[in-house]
Amino acid sequence: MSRVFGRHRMPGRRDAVQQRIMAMAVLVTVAFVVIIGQLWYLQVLEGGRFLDASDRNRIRIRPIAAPRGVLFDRNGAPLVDNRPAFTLSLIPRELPRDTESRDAVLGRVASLLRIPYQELLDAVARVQTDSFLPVRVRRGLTLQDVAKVEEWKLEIPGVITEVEPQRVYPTSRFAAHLLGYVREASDDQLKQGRYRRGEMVGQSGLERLLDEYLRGQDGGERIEVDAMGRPVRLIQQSEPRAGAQVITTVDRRIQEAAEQAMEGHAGAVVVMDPRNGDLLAMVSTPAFDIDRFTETIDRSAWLRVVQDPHFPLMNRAVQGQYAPASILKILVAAAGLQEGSLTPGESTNCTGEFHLGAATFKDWKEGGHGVVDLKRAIVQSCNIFFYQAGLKIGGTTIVRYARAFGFGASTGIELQGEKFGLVPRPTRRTWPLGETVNLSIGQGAVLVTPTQVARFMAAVANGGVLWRPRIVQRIERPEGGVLYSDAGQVNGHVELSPVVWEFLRRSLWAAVNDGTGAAARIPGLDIAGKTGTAQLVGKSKAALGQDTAWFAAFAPVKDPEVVVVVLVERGGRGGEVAAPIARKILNAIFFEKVAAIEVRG
Amino acid sequence: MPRKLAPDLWLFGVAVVLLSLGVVMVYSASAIVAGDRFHDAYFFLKKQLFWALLGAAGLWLALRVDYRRLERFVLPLLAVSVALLVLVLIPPIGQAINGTRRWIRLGPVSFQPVELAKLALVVYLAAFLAKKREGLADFWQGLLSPLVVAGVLGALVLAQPDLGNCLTLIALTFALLFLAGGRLAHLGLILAPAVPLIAIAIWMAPYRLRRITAFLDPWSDPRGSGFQIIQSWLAFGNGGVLGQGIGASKQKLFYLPEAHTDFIFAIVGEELGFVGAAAVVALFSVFVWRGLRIGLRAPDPFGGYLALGITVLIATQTLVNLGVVLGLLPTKGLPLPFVSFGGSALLITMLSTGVLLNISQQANV
Repeated sequence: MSRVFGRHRMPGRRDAVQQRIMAMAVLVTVAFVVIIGQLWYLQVLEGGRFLDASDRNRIRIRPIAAPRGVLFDRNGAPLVDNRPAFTLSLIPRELPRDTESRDAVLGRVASLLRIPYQELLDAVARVQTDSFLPVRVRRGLTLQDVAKVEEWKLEIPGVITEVEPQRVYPTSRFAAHLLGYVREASDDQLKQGRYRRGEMVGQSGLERLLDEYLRGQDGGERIEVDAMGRPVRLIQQSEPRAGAQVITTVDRRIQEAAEQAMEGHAGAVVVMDPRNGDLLAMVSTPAFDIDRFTETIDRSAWLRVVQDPHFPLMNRAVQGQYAPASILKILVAAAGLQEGSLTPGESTNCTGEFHLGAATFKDWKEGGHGVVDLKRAIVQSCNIFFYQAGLKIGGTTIVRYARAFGFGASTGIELQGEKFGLVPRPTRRTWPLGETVNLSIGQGAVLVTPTQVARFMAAVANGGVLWRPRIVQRIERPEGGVLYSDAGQVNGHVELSPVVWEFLRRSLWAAVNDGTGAAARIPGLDIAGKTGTAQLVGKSKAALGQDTAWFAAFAPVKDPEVVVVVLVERGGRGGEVAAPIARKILNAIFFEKVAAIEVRG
Repeated sequence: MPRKLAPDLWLFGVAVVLLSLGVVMVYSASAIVAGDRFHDAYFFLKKQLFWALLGAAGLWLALRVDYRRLERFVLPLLAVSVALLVLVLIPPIGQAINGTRRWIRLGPVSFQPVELAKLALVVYLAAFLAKKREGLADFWQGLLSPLVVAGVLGALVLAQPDLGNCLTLIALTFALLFLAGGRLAHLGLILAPAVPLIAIAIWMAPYRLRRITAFLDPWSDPRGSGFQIIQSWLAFGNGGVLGQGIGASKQKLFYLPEAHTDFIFAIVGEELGFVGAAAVVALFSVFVWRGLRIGLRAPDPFGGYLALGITVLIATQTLVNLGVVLGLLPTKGLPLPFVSFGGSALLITMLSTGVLLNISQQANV
């Protein structure tokens, strides 16, 4: 062997490098021999002993669901909470291997708990047969169900019950639309890959909007269990991390009062603080039972809700679009006064009819209101006066003001699926004067949502500031630390002369105290408000009482603190149906609070 | 002088077999865990295949480019390694995993700077020893600068902290100095103060002490510190003489932590039995034999020391890994070359193998 290291010998040390390489080779050889020896010892000599030890026990993986974050109202009262609930799960790997005895186990479970056999089969079919992870079959087991499963434990291997936190609500329909509901991730959501099967995901309302914050992080443990399924040893555990807490702007007391007041009606209520845009309550009726959605519900119950002709899933407060009717008269008056085409002193003799070319437009009151000025026209909600006023102001100007007040556009509310309503685009050629006449009393080609109306009323109350409706104040980690906070935001401003604002406020006060909104009056509280009754087209006898009833109010007139907007579908006249509801809500806000404070004090 | 020869086919064959076995075993050991954690049974397999292909490209490249060119890149290689080792300690760049910062993440791929540092140190030592081998008998002239370089790299690695790789760097340095003819008395003199240093390192992080005591008697705490090694033994025991068959391991089902990375050899033992595991050990010993042979026959001192360094590096990691998995050494986080899951380690191993083959190609017989 002729090599480099051979030729360049170290002085005085023959083949030192070669020797050392040999020494290293010997060392490595010894190490490899030791390793083979150990392998021999472990695998051949001791093989049987170790085999025994590892075969006795099984591993079980137990996911620990993180408690979902709690939503609080503005005063710290919980709007939702979690309680432990029992879930029936299957562990595919521990079910009998052969199909026949597996189906026998499933059949036994089905008859024990009165669960459709097919549901169990479907649950098993969804996952791989050697999966360690429990597959949830049904949530919300009763204690008796759990006892049955435990009793039959030995006959039904692979079937277990687990305890998981589940949402509970103060009442089953409480703030259903605003809070939304939570359900297992749907197949579509699973495809997005962000969720695991069986995971609870917020599907609507705040639960959906804030899902990322609320969900927390699931924990889990790997435990070794013996043949009886008893835990022997905890191998690994990760604690679940609870979801973040959300402090909303909602006032639970007002929300409850508003829901009570809406009992039996279909419609919406929005209560807003005109000083900052805080949403104090949002009601949409009919509501759905949030609780029932949380559990695994069967298909027919689900279809009943989805196919209900009253659309209980729709949040009418942001998704319902209605003709604003006489509510829009406030805006028309504001436009006319500010533009100078209308003066407070202007008066009209209302005969109950108005002629434009060949067409006749009627007032809602047979025979008319007699001689009315602008203020009386608002107070009495006289249509004839506004037909004429509208023509004077012009459709284009009304539309401009409607847009300035935020109609026909997003309010900026964070709830998903908000509808923007409809504001027409008048052009000279395609815009008949009759449309302007209709527009002047909020009929025709204009649609608004209750939330838009609340924002508009708040602007009338606070002098033109359009707030983005705020629902979430803060999101905090359970252990402290703010993740998100919303200080509120102004996203529009309408400049009107202070005289105009003052005139509007006085007129609206009079409308409640001496006009169509009298049913909302509360002695000791200065309320300003406006009724609205949107007529359905084709006013036959049968259609009577089928009108959309509006009432929009704020109080107190000096330094307004709340705006209340009530909408009742197919309710009838705004002054007769919506105004009393608003009265109940305002009463709860201003007087029951005082009473509560007095009692506490 | 040097003629072009065929590269060492023994070495090449061993590398190919070990790499293929590794890909299969990584899939087998990780499929269920990957399915559970990432909803994709192929998660680790895909990554490993990607790195194996990259590694094959690296091997081919190293085979084509004359290794002598590496001598010019000693300083840049060291500089880049030090820079990366410093960068990895800075929070947003270094990924913190289990309280250590060992990874630099670039989009979907992560890289472990220490792997590059190991290769850089080998190249540096080879270049240094080739130049200074006459002066090696002098303590200051011969030993100071390699010890300083190794010390700096080792300290940076220890800061991650990664004691296993730090010790690898030190062992590599001493092994090469020893092979090059450094005086045993000198080497012993330097090692003496290392003993209290290691003691301090252990004292600083009590988990290291736990690992050492666990190694001495794992049954004293079978559910805690001794758990991993006992599970590893159980895997070997399960394997018996002929093994359970590929894919049939039970220990990989969440019993044995790190089944597809550092402890993959236990799964090899369980699925392929004593016969398969011993064959793998034999393959590694062939690798070392051929590596040392290439070193002996290299056409120049640089090539010789380079080949020896690479061989020593891979041999050290192999022996330490096997020793740990078999419960002969305290637990150290070192992957099994070619076989364990881990991209940067595999890439560097393949590159190094390419360099070895390149040297074998030019050896003068």
